Amino acid sequence: MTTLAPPAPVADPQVAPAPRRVRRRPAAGSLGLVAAGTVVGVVLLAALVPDLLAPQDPLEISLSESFAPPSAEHLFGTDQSGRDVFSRVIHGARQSLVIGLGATAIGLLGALVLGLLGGLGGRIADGVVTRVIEVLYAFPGILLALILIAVYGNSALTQMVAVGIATMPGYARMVRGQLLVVRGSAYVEAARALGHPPLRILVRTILPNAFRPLTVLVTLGIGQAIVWAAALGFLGMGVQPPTAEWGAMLNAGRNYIQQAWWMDFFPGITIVLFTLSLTVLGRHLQRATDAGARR
Amino acid sequence: MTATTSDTEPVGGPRPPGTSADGTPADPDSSADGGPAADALDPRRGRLLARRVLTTLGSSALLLWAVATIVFFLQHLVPGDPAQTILGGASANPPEETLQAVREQYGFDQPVLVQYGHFLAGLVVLDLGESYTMKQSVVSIVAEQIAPTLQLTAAALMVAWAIAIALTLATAGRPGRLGRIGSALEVVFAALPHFWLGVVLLVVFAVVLQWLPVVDDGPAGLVLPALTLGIPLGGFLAQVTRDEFDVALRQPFVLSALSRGARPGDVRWRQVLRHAALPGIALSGWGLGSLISGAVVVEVIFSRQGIGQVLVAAVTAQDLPLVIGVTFVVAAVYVVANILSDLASVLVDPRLRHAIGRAS
Amino acid sequence: MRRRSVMTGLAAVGAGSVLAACGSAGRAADLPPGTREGGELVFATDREPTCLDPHNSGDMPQTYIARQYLDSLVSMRPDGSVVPWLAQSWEISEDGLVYDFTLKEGVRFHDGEALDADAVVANFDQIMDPATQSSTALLYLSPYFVSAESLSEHVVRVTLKRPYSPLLTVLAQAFFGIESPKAMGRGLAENCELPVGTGPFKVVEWRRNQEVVMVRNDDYTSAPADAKHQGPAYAERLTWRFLKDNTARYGALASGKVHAIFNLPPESVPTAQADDRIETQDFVHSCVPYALDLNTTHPALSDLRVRRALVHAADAPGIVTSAYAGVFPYEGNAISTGTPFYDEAYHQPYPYDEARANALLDEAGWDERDEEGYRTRDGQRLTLRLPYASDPGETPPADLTILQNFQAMERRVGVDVQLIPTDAASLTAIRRDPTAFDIRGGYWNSPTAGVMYIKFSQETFEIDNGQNVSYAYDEELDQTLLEAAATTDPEAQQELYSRAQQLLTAQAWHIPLYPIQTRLAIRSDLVADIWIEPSEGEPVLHDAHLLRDGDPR
Repeated sequence: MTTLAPPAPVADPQVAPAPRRVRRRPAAGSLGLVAAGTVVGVVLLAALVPDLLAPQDPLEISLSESFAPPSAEHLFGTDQSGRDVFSRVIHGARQSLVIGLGATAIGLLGALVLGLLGGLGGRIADGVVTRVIEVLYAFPGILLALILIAVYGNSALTQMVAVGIATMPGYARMVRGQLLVVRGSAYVEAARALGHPPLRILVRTILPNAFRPLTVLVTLGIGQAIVWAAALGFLGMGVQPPTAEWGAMLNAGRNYIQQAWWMDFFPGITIVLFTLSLTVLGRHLQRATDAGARR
Repeated sequence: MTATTSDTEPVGGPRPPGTSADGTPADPDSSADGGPAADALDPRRGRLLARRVLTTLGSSALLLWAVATIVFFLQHLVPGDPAQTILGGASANPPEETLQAVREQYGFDQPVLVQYGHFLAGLVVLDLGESYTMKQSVVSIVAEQIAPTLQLTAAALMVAWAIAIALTLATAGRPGRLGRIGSALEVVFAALPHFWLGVVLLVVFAVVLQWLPVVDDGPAGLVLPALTLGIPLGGFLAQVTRDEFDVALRQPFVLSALSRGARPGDVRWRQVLRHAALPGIALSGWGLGSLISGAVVVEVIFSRQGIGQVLVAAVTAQDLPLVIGVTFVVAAVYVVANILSDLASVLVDPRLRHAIGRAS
Repeated sequence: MRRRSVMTGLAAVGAGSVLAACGSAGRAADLPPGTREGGELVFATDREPTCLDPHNSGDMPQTYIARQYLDSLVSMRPDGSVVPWLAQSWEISEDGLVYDFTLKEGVRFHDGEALDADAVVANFDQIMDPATQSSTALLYLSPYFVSAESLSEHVVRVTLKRPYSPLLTVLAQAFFGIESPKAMGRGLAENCELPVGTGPFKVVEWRRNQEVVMVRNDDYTSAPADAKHQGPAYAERLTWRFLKDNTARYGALASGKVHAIFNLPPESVPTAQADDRIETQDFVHSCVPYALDLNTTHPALSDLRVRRALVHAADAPGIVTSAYAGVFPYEGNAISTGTPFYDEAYHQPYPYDEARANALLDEAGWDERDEEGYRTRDGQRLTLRLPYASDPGETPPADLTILQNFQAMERRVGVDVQLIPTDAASLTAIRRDPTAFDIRGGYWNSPTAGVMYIKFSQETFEIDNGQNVSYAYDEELDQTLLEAAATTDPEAQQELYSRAQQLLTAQAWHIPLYPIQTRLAIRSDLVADIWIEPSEGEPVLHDAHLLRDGDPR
């Protein structure tokens, strides 16, 4: 159900390939960057002020207009109840983004705690944390989400928590690894030798350096979280219908695909474009981060 | 502009065996096929290897126990009466006495810790109980259903690797548009969600064009599901492999091989690919695990048998023994897959044999 | 004074198929032209039963499959009459309280036990035993049944406490199929897995979530009088496959992997009709149509005006037609067109009328609105909880659309309907708890118009098992229905049942939507002679025969 691994090849600390090299040619080019930025911007706008962009009420039905193909009036066509798919996609952006961002925040928070414990605590703490991370990794992500939903019911909050916990190990590993490395680096040793208080070293030196690569990870991670949440919606474990949510719309559209392909196509392509754009942005960010000095 | 080595600091934590900190692989010529034979028989290395195997097994067992325990307690938080699940059905209306009888029979009215004790006892002898909804032993259900899922994930892994290798060989390190197209293609592939790709493939190839069956137990029915799972993973593996390929291409040994008259195609295929594949192989262990979770969605879309769809049904029906059983098996598969990919890494890169025994 | 009413004459129906050939010796002679001998017949359906013993529970998928391996005492004809099956003749006493069934001789169960009066009595006992949890028994028989006893080796006497003219049609259902007592004695759990009957097929294996495998009963001698042929089935093997996904099920039919499917998805109807190889059969069940039952214990719903307003606002014909792409007909009456004594005067008692709905709601005191536009009274919003099965096999996409459309239509008049997807176990609990829901979807199939009594009577209300979903009853309605059940005069029955429909629709205890149908799609180029029997719309596969390649029927 996840399309992406621990986000982006470079970011997974366990198997990071060779450090990023500056390419001879920028891969996507500035055109790609602009396009990606636009997509992300539009989606963000849709999430913040859906009523501004959506021409119609996403919940209002119109039986006589059901299964209408895309037209000027209904850019993405209508669904089986005559609801405007375009408006629903716009409103769905908010659902997906809220869950995606919320999940990422939860994942980061948990990862921070774990990572700090492991990276800065003693060997025992590190051992425990590594084990915990392994255990979390061993759950196929969707299982945890399913169980949490069974316990606490379908709701945006449960989806968020479930996806958040599932993304946690990836971030935690990165945080812990980074902390370990930075802690032993020459720069920190120098600071210690100079007699700087440990807390200052921690806050001024260790943390910023450790978390810098996280920004890239997070950009990609948000995309993954959104896809994950949509997958849950697709399985019927997300928000309750008829609330507009990308995954749920795909689930409904699947049944009518032969007579109304637009019901499945447009929400799907939106997710793909959005995820793609986040990936492109993430990689640009990564290149920018790598190019600068990291010490 | 020549390639520059960026800072030598690794991006993440401990690196896997085989990739040194500064990213420069050793001269591969000396490690063509099998390392120095003498080393392999060193008893000290044997002991280290054995110790490593034992540690892995030990931590795997611990891992599985932890997984099962977590799932057990989580499901016990579920509101709802398992007795209803057992006796229930679409229009069932069991009287209270029957419900109570079932509760006693299964021990639901006992304290949680006692139930957990029973559960652990059963776990040790691989008795995972009986499914509430399917009235069969969990082990038999999983045994029946795991084969199609493993088939699917194996096929998907092959598809993913085929895509990764094809894209990398064809477009990595090549100047101009080709390289960029390959790179873009990988990113697009990796971004395709299973639940959308599957439906699109199903409709286009099975329903509209009718080139492939909609529902089929045999190999024909495996094609579309394997593609659905394999394409995104393939895109992802391709990215990893391509990056490594690019790095390896700039190594001195490539230049020396070419100057000795080796053909570029041969060099790319035989020498460079081996290096490039390493991180991908290491990732495959994780990849197989995530393929299984992706199989949940794919099995639903294509109405295929398999533990993925069993899992979804089990959680929706609050069928606790079945959920635990499937989780357990999936975790076990994940652990095994990782061990296998470690081994595969060793096979591909003989340098790793030297690394065995050193803590990773 | 006993009145002899011998029915054996009807055994002659289906003349020409009196061949009792069993075993393959005489088979070649009576194979229909173009038949491929033997073979495996594959039938795919959407819903999987929870138990293969139809005595337990009483859900529709059970009766559809049980027909293939169980025989019943009598078989029902489309006109409402019954013909001999396991009972080759019967006598009914003058007062209608005693039925004597004479069983066919020489019939054996699949496990070798003989079918005799004791076996039939054992069946009645098991059905009526609360441990079996037969909802069919509870509602069809309990109010009437006194006892069943063997008068002789092949004569069974059933005694009732009050006359029940629909009894014979009720007994025709596979829910009352006759099972081997020895098999029943193994206990419910085992009987659910591998029930044993006298039918044309025997159950071999049940692979959950996949299929039920059955093989031909070569010693079959007990086909009903209205079967297309007597003697064993033509197909050697029958596979009953579960494909709940609509695309998969139809796709399997289109590609020929299955020979026939149950419940042709509405979205596939145009394609099926355009395809020459596919034949569709539709049968409207005798039933209370699928409806949204209103729980009258809710303060708003106890008011008749509110209930009527809800029906007026729903535009049920519109939402059914659009959700089912016109494939399902709308039905506003308390019973379906397939039910005997249906009166079309009550087909649509409350037409779509938003203004009227608003007026009624205002009148009922729900005239204030809150910020979101929903009606309130004394600060309380008019909220109605509608739990439904989250399993897409139980609530197919079209039904989900109907629910959503219903919610949207009611929102227009200020009523807040909350759709709550619920898992099966929780639904079971909700069923018995009137405080846990306000509206619930449901239907009830039954071969008789007395189904209205089964669902809406005071007696059912007092059993308190949630079957009377509205938790309401009306004495006059009950009286009318009891009288109708007591008489056998068709004119009197029509009058009484019409009155019942009038009373019932006046109460607006539910919002009917569409009648239950059996809709088969069959590859007519691959298989022939599948038909639908009328008591519960069960598909009959005993007469089905696979066609030789390319041989048109």
